[in-house]
Amino acid sequence: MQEQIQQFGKNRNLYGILTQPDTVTQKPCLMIINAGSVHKAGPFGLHVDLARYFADKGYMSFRFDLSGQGESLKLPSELPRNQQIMEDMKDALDCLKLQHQQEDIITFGLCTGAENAHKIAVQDKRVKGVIWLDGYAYLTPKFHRTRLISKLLKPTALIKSLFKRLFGQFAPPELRKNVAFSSDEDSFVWKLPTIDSYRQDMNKLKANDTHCLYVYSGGVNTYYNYQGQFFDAFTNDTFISQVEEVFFPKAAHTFFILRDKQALMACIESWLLKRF
Amino acid sequence: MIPFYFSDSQAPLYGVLHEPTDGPFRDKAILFCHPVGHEYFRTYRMVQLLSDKLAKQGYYCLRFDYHGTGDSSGQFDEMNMNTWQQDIIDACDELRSTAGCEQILCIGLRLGAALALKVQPQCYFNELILWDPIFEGQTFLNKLSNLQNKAFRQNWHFSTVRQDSELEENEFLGYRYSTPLTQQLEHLTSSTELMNLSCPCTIIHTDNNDQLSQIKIQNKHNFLILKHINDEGNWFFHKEIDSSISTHNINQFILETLS
Repeated sequence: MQEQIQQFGKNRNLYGILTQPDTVTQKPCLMIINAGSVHKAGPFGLHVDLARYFADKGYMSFRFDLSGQGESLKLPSELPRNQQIMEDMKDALDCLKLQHQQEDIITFGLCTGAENAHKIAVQDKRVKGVIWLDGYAYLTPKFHRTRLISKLLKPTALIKSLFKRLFGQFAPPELRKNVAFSSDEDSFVWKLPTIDSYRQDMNKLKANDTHCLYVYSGGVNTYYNYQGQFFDAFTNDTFISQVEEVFFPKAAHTFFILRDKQALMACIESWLLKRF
Repeated sequence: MIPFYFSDSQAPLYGVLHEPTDGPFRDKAILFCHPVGHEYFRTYRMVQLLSDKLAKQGYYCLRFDYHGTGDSSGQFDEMNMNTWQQDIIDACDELRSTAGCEQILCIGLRLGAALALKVQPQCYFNELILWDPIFEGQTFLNKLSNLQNKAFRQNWHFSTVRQDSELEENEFLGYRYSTPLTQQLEHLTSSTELMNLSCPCTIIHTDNNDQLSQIKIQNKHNFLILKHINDEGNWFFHKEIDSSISTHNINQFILETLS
């Protein structure tokens, strides 16, 4: 395995690390996108571990910092943050194509990284696969039932939640907002698209034969709480043939327990072998 | 800000050099020594911003990742304190030759502060700033273990209670500490180094620490300055093991001290 620092971007303000396997293969390349505000090494080193694990399996990967994060400079720009992120990701794709002849890309992202991994896949046909951890999810009747049952089994938590709700009604509106779905562009939270807009995106991905691995952890049980929730939300949509959904109910959002991380890697590896 | 690899080309260290941009050029360069494990990620952004600002004040700054941490080569679970101490010595040499400065000020955080103290005789630091240094390794390990237990038993990070049996040996918050590292930490104490310290040293501490006052009295050369800053430390608050810390007051203090 070899690692090299790569400077790239139209303004040469972006930096990443390319991890190459010892032998050249025809396998797709992983493009690993920042998780929230964490730099390219990833939370608890997740991105480094991922890059090195898959280099051993013959996959090249590129972990990099979006402008203003880690070592990548934020230049004065009139673009809103979300557009700047798209430009940065396109620059990364161009770099992989022009300098390393990589045209089949699989994007990987956790949390806001998942949102970005999805968005670039919708916009750029070079992306042939999307792996997301704790990305979008839509609530289903079974989600609500599961949550209610879980709360009834924990009466103390239920009382706490009722108190919170009761006093929350008297809190100022800005404190009542659900931060997980905030629309503040500069904060590191993703915004759930409307279900119609998401369907359009997914139909585009299907047309491009882009495959998706959607991984959810137990750390996001406020919006995802059972295996199959994604499929239940889109039962009649044909794009679900492109999607594999995996739930790790015991894992934390960042998969920081070593055993969870190993299980995650094995899951991704198995999906890659099956789909590519 | 220039990222680069240095030291052994077969097992490189990842460093980031911040070159002076404004202000009078200083004859002293600054070396940062990160914490390790989960604390490394918590402080990364803060160290980066501080390096940027110090470069604007005219200092060359080098921050780097020890072997097995961040973007440097190696596996964390194969590392020990000897390797990391050698890494600091290599980084110090690299900074001296790149910046062309003989004088080095070292800013060490947490375990990075303890490591910096250990290599002071080899690195000849001209000044030290130590932020919440780890004085007693055994206490640190105990606290790490308690923090992990709390994280496991409370439903902040996990929706189900996790068991210790699900951990690898000496795994603390996402990192497996090797047996040699654990043994070194069990015996780590920084009191002797602090009492014999022969260069100016400022210790920034975010909690009240009686042990520090004793050490200050016993320092032979009266080089120790203690600075209590009521800023975000929260090193052992289970809900914050994965969140970045922002320490405006500490950054401000360092910037003003070095202005």
